Amino acid sequence: MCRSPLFSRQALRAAARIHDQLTRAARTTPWAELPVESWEEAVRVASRLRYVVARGWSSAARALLEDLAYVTRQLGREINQFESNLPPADRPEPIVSLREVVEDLLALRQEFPQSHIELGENSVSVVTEPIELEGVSLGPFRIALFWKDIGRRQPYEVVAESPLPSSENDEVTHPHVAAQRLCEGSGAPAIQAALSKGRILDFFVLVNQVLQTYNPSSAHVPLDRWTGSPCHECGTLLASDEARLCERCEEPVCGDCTGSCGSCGYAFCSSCLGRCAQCEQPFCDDCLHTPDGSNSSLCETCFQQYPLQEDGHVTCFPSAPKLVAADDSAPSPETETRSAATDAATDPLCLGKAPLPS
Amino acid sequence: MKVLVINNHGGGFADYVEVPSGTTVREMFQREVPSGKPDQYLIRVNRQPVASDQALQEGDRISFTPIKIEGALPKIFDTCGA
Repeated sequence: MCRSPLFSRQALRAAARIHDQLTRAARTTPWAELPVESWEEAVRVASRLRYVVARGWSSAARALLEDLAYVTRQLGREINQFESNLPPADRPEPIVSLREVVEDLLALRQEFPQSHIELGENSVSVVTEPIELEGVSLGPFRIALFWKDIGRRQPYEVVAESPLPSSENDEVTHPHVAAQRLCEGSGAPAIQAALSKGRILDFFVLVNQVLQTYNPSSAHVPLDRWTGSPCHECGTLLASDEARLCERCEEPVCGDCTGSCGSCGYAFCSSCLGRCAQCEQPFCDDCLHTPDGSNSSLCETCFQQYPLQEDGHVTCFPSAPKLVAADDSAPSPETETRSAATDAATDPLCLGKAPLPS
Repeated sequence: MKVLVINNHGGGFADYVEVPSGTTVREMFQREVPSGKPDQYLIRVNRQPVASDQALQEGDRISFTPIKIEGALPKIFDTCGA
């Protein structure tokens, strides 16, 4: 057994503190506290419900019924928790001896070569071997036990040493670890038993085995969705060989959100593609021309078709032919002026030069 | 002889049991985990890996820990680690 003098000394001191904490935690009997408050709350709500029902106040009754259902569910949870905390015998099970705790800590380095005791932080931690599940590398994890929290629900955290989190959620560093908390699953009873009885070595081994096991039916993020990039436009998760990068912003985009510039042919996301104001085809910014004095852009072809005026402005595009009325009446000059003005006003290129319609 | 058995399968049972002298690790495993296969467990005697045919001695501490322990999202109304 590999023992360094420093680690051995730290183990002795840590073991004493851990044993103290175990003794203190064992004296706190969680099973002794019945959920009296929740029961009293249920009694109060039930009483109010009977009051409003007797008076025929149906709206109030509906609301109170929901409240009563919620309170009774809460009460049920607390009763179940109380039952699960009942000791198996009428006398509490003994915790391990101080010597057992020392032996556990000293044996840690054989199971986990990278074991550390931080007396100042009241913690003992181990680093696992790099974990790979179904071909997905997750890196090593540090399991840190804070012995002053023994007796609470989860007095430890699981921290990725070289995080390789899921693409969907960077707090999920392992399919069963989110925000440094392990979902113990079927290991929960054994882990809690090991902690409450002071079997520190067993605790670390158990947590390590949970990390080494993949349960695809109940993961924060399944491994088949672990890597990949979300489409910049629609958010669809893309495998690394599915994603295309926008030529301009270099964000990943899916095939549905990718468009090609009608001139250069490069692929762009929809945010980086514009449209020619005339032919309405998609073009990138580099392939669109915005004439001086205009808010609109033209592709090269459309831009070339219309020579510049002497003042440098692009000639307005001719408006569409007007439909003649059934009686073939010629439009009045007033109508023509109004039509021309309207046409000019609606032509985006001439917005800056068109007279305002009367 | 009396040995301490720690079965980390399921609820994490730990207690002293009386076994005949000369009981081997393999025999102990078959007795405590009858439906299990040894290669699916980490078996330690006095916190050390041992051969399956090693004979146990008085006061030995033997533990069986499943290699595969499935983590899982919490059930409804429970909170993961809270």
